[in-house]
Amino acid sequence: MISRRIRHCAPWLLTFIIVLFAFAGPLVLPDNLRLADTSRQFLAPSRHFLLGTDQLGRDLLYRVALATRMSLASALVSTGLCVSIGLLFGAASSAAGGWLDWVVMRIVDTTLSIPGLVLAMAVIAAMGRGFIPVSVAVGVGLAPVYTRIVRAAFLSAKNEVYIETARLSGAGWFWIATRYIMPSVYQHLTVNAVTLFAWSLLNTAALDFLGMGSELSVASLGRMIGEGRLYLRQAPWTSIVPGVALTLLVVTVYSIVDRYSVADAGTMRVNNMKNATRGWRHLS
Amino acid sequence: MALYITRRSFSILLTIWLAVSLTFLAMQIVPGDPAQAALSQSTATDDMIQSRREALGLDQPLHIQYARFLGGLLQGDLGVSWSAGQPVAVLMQEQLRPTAMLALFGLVVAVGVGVVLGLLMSISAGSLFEPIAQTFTALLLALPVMFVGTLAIWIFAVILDLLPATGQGTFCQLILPGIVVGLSGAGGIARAVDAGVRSSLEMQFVRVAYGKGLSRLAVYLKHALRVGILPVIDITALQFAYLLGGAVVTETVFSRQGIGRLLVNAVLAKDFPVIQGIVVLAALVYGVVHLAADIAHAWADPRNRLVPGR
Repeated sequence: MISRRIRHCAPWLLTFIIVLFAFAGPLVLPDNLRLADTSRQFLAPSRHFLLGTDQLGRDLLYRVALATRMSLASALVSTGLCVSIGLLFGAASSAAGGWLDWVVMRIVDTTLSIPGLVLAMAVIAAMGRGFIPVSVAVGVGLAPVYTRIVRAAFLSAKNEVYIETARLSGAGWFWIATRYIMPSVYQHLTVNAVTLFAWSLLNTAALDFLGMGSELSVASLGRMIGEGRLYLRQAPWTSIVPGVALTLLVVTVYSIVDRYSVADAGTMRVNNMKNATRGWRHLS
Repeated sequence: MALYITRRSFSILLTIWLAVSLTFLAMQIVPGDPAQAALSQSTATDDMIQSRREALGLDQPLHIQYARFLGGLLQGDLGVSWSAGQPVAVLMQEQLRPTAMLALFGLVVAVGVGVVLGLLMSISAGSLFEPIAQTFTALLLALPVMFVGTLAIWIFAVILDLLPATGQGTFCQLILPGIVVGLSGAGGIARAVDAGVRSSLEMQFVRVAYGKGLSRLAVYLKHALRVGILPVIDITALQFAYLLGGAVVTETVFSRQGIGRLLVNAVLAKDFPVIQGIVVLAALVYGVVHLAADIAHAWADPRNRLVPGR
């Protein structure tokens, strides 16, 4: 009984701890830990530096907190953008059908077939480097996946008898979409939006790892993993600490998804996994 | 069947054309003249940049550039790389082998681990093992390739000194990257197998199989898995398509050569012909692999008959 309760709360508890760490950490930790100090380069994890220091002598605990905050914020923007685009086009496409549906699906197919890196490059090159361009690049890259999810969900609801009834009673398409279809699909769409959040975290990190993401001055998990790799022999923690942080972050998000996607039936779960492949293998 | 394949082939061509045109448009947004970028290392004078621009045909109006590019593509000419000076087709041909090896080996690992794990998950439903397997697959799904790759290099190359960390050519050099790529794909396959097997357990034919007196294991392996394996086709196909179109991060982590590395370098150097070539390859592979997956579906499950225009 108790163990089940713990299992149900664990995802949210973990989320709370991570958010607290990311947002309160930089406020509580002494500020000099953030600064470069070559006299304390590559210190192994110890009582003073819980997770060790990096190649410039910066405290990794502090940097991971900063980078986690950055990742969370960026993924939130990407997911928001992605969900907006997906809802708009997915709903319109499924409601209108016909040529609009065809055009939207061709665009979706095309963007999914282009390597994610090329799309990201185009967006980042057009908007310049920085927080917003990277978030937009990741969000735009994932938008076709969510468009597919929304469209499929709306289409599956569209043929239900109660929708037919509503239509016969004279309800307009907007009324039907928001009052009849949304309530039946919103849980599925929310769970998938949370999954998108996980992919955003991974894709943002991948871009930073490849050196195409945020500005060099900003702490980012992906770039920390990439830079730390160069010192794998002498100071493995510089790469492993941010790596574990990123994995923990994504696992936590997935645990929330698992907690709420129980309602999805067999075929839907299979589709979720297909979308997972579309979502983040794109940039791996 | 023939009609179906013809129609699908046209739709693949359409997707390639759209992808290429979209990329062509996107490249116009990218600031900085490619001729300038190509010569930025040297102390090029304005005259040199201008003559280079003429040589690349960049002084022509956009629609003429586009028409020339499409014309070349129709004749199977992908153009010449701006930074390497070699034909794009030759460059890609050289890089395709290591990437294909990685993708194939990675898929073998992904399907092997994924199917076994998925079966274990569905067999152990309700037991103590279930939450463990659930967490494990969540971990596999969440694994960032860049980190697992680094971890694998640290453990197996630096500490244990068992396997080479970088390079390509020998099988030993394929083991680490292949397993890392495979594991990152195994989580999705495991969950799909689990979901498929579980939903098939509620079907009539499984009850019949039990009624015939078959053991639980035999029912799982002979009947339920056969249905459960169907979605694996799709997922594996998708993974294969994305890997062939450039396992960008994996190849970077393990310093391998391949399409992914070619793409990263092309993006960094703004080498547009190479980028376009890889976009063509990725779109082609994506379309063909999808078609193959649909045909495999129809073959494995007669209920999914191939209807034109589906």
